[in-house]
Amino acid sequence: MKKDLIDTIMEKDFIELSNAERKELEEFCTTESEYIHMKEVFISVEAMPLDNPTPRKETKEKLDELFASTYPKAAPIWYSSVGAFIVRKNQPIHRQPLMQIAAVGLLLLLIYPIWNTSEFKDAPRNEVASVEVNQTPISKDTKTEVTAPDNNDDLVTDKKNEDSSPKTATLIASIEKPASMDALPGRLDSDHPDGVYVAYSQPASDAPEMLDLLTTTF
Amino acid sequence: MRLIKPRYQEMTDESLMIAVSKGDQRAFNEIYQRYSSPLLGYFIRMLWKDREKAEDFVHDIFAKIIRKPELFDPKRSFKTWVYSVANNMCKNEYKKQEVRKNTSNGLDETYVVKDHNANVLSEVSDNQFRYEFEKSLEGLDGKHSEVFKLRHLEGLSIKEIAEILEISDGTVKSRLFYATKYLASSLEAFNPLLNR
Repeated sequence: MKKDLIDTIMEKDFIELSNAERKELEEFCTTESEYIHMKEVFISVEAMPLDNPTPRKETKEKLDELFASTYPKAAPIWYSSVGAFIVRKNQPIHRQPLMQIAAVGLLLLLIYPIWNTSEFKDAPRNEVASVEVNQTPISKDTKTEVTAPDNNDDLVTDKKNEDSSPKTATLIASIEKPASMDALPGRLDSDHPDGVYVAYSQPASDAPEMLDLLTTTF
Repeated sequence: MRLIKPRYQEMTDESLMIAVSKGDQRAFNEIYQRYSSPLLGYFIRMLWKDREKAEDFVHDIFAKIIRKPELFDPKRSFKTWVYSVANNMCKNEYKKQEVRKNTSNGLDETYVVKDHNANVLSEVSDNQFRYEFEKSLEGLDGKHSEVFKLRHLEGLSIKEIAEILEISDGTVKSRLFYATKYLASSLEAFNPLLNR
């Protein structure tokens, strides 16, 4: 708040007043005693404790009602109405639709693993799919050996059938079974339920025919 | 859609009033929080310490703010405006009471019964000073006492009082000093400062 003449009177003694302030005051008090008396009244009144009581609750409630009727809220948009439906006011928490939906969801989430496990147990074991490999008889005069550094006897291309079905060139590959294979944990005749066979691991560079098979571009 | 909610406590009265005119209830709550108590105190002091009437007046003034916020010009100070409205309401009430007085059997319905035995208290205290002060203030005529009350009890500046009462600064000062001289002479025997 900007200071005015009254603040000046309350703050300053008569002798401290500037000429301008004295000039402003001379209309109201001319002598020092008058000034002091006035100052005393001002200070006493300012020091007097003021009681500003708080209005009653009912007054505010009435005003809130009036405000609500004067400024009706805009019609709720669809998600507001959905929100109003699932999160209802003045409803106990267990009767809130949102809470009920959440409870059902949680129940289903808890039940699902149990249900899933029993189904798994009852289900028959996955059987190993038998893959039949059609091996075309290869005649000696039509077969061409693929040049390979070693173990190239096994990779044979049927040149005769190339014209009739060039896109379906049969690559016959047989991988030598190491002697120690039976000792490996994942054998070919493994009865693993997923049907995954891990025979052994071998660097591709050790088996050139495999390397070729991997790098073949169709 | 506004992402950051405005901080109503930091907003000025004038910007709160702009929000109120747009139907912002929180802004109204903040205005009510700031002014309901001082206005109730003002009405109690101006309306013969009639608490019920003062409560009604507080309701009416805020109802006016709700119904017709456009009456307030945001370029003006809200505090000045709200006190000028309050002051006009009091003036209307005085007029009403004057009419009632003339039509009644001569009894002043607004006369506040006071315990005059309080004067016999020998101990000088703040309460006693207050009592004496209020009695002296009642002895003043309306136009002088209202200026004094607005300045010293409501904490308004001379300029704000001039704006509220639609009079010049000089007139406010003149009335204020007249009131002060009157109070000083009536409280001379009491001499509050010397007894503190």
